[in-house]
Amino acid sequence: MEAIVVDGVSKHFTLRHAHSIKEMTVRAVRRQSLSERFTALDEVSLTVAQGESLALMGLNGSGKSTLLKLISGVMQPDRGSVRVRGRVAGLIEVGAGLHPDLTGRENIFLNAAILGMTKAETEAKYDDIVAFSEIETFLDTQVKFYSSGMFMRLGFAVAVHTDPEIFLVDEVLAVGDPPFQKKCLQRIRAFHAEGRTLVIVSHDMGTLEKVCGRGIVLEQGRAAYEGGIQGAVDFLAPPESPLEAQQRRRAREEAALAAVPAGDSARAEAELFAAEVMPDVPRLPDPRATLEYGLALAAGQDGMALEFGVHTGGTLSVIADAREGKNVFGFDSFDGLPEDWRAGFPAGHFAVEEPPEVRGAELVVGLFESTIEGFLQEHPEPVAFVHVDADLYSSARTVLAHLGPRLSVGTVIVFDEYFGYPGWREHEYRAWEEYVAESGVRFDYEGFTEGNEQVIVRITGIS
Amino acid sequence: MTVQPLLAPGRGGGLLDVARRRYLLRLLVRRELRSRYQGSLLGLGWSYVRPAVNFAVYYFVVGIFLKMSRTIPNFPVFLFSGMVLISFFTETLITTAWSIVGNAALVKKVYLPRELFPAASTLVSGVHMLPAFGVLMGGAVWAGWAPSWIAVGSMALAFAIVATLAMAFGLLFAAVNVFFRDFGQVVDIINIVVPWSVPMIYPWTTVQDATHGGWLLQLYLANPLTSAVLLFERAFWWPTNDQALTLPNGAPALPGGHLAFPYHLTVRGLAGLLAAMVLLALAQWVFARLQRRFAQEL
Ligand SMILES: Nc1ncnc2c1ncn2[C@@H]1O[C@H](COP(=O)(O)OP(=O)(O)O)[C@@H](O)[C@H]1O
Ligand SMILES: [Mg+2]
Repeated sequence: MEAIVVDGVSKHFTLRHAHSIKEMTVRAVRRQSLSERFTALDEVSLTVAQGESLALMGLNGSGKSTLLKLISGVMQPDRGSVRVRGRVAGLIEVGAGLHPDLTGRENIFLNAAILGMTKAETEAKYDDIVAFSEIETFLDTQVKFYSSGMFMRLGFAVAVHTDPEIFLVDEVLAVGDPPFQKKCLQRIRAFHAEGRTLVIVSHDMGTLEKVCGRGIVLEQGRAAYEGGIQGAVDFLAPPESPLEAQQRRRAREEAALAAVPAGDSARAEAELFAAEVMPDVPRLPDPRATLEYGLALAAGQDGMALEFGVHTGGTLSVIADAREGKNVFGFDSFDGLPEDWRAGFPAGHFAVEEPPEVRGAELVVGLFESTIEGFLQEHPEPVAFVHVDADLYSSARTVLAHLGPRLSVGTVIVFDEYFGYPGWREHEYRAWEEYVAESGVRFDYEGFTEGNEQVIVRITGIS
Repeated sequence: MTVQPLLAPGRGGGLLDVARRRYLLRLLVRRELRSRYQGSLLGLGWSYVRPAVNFAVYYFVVGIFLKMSRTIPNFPVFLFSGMVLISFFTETLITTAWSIVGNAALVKKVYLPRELFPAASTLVSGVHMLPAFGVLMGGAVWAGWAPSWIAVGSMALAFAIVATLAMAFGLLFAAVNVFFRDFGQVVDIINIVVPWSVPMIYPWTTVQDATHGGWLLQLYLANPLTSAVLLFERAFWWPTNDQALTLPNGAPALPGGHLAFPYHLTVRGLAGLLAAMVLLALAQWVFARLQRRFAQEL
């Protein structure tokens, strides 16, 4: 689901030469121009998915802050529209709401209220805010006696304890001393992990690569590049030599490895795999978001939506909702896994007493190899969306082999256990790779769950 | 979890939004009071000193030297009741006019319903009015004032008119001042005229005599501020007037036989309040349109 939709937005500034009634009169009499028009944003469009973290990059004056101000509602676009879902808060500039004559304590309450918190909310978070700011001893001192570092800390501490759905950050991650910066960065990542939507402006490419999945580069008010964060960084600051390019690549691989807990080599392998084959796709925060994103991609695609591996029906009902209950089918024997899968999932695991009731979806009960063929004979429609949640190589292979002729350009497949667990290269991943090699279909990766196992693919060509 | 709708940001509901964010409004008022008096010699005491000096000047010059005390019995209460109301009005015009420009740092960086700032300034002026109002009350009681329905009703109506009018002009001036920084000067000039344009220093009958009761008088009386000042005088001054006369038709009169208040003052007051409310609605509309460009103009 989209959290921010910016559609064809332009913003012009009128640089007025006259700021008083007198100046205006004088210039009018002399027939001098009263103003000049300057285009800060030119037909910019972008969509940010809920839970996504977007980097906004560009040289000074390229329009980044202006775009953030349009998103936060501080300014209104001249043309086009901006729409947001949920509460927006931001660090457009740290400490904007701090008042020099008030004490630190009073400023915490005032600034929190400015950012939309109620008194009760502020009181509940007060201790956390104070602890985060590390200025306990100066709470009763007027803010005008604070050093600029303390001032920033206070402003930042309040801002990161608000509870917005969308959080905007404008060039403020560089405040404070290195330990504080690190803490702020952690906090921003925690925001991301909580599923909040982030838009971050920074000139620190390393930070952006760590926090953001996608990047947009603005050039003189136009979106010059949109894609994966690493691509965006390379676009804005191309490596100057082959050596530097290589260093960058190595640093990224190391970062990908460092991002996962030591010893979890399957996870690390998946990270590398993702960085290599799908560097530019959205990284979705959880499996549900991935499923919903896949469904959104298939929204314009006519035909059936099929799930293989219904289990208790939770995800099938998400699919049924998205397809409005039309042509949705769930396949499962409900006897659990037909053979051993990975460690901890022996044959028979996932068995349920009785098939679940799922509104808007029809169940096809039985082993895939015995049900799919008959089903397809009765249902001649194309397949628009497939959710492969059967875990095993053999099941995925059966499904793909039977469905193959019904897949068309635009069909979206969400694999639920594609990668990132021990032995992943032997299951859904392998079944898909083999199917692609045998059938010659072409496809794009469209997204995956960050730190998890789900992957979305979309068919782009059939030979 | 309910899915929230996609909405355009920064399209506030105007003064209604201010009502929704009362808590923030209260903090803003407290901040302004605090910062205005922090480190000052007398603190809120200045709210006594200024009206006291203002009052003394008028009282001695107009009341004693120009002998207005003879025309108007109990002149100090007469003068002070109008003055309390008018200083509230003029102070509000000045502070609201600078309320957006003075909060530029916030207006440029965080979206808040911008009406908050003029509203906070108006409330701060209201707080400043309290000491003078207390003095007026004390003086009137000392001079024999006792509460009555007509007094309390007149006071409330007068205050409603002035507050509404001040808020309306406050919104307009605050917005215009963003675009033309010398507009503040215009406000200063307006404030020189206002105290003389209402029957605060002289009785309204002076205008009646000078205009021979013609259309100019009607224009003068049509000003809602005039009605408000007359109502405040009816609330505080008239009950303490020991030389009160009534004409044969029962209308209150001054010693010279002049009408103390124009006929139908309550109706005039209500009409003035209605006019002020219409003006407020208009001002809110203009403000809402102009505020979209505040952030880029500051
Ligand atoms: N309020 C304003 N009035 C006039 N020009 C402005 C205003 N705000 C920004 N600009 C101009 O718009 C351009 C884009 O500014 P900005 O969005 O702040 O860039 P960035 O954040 O990418 O450095 C700059 O050239 C800047 O001078
Ligand atoms: Mg900027």
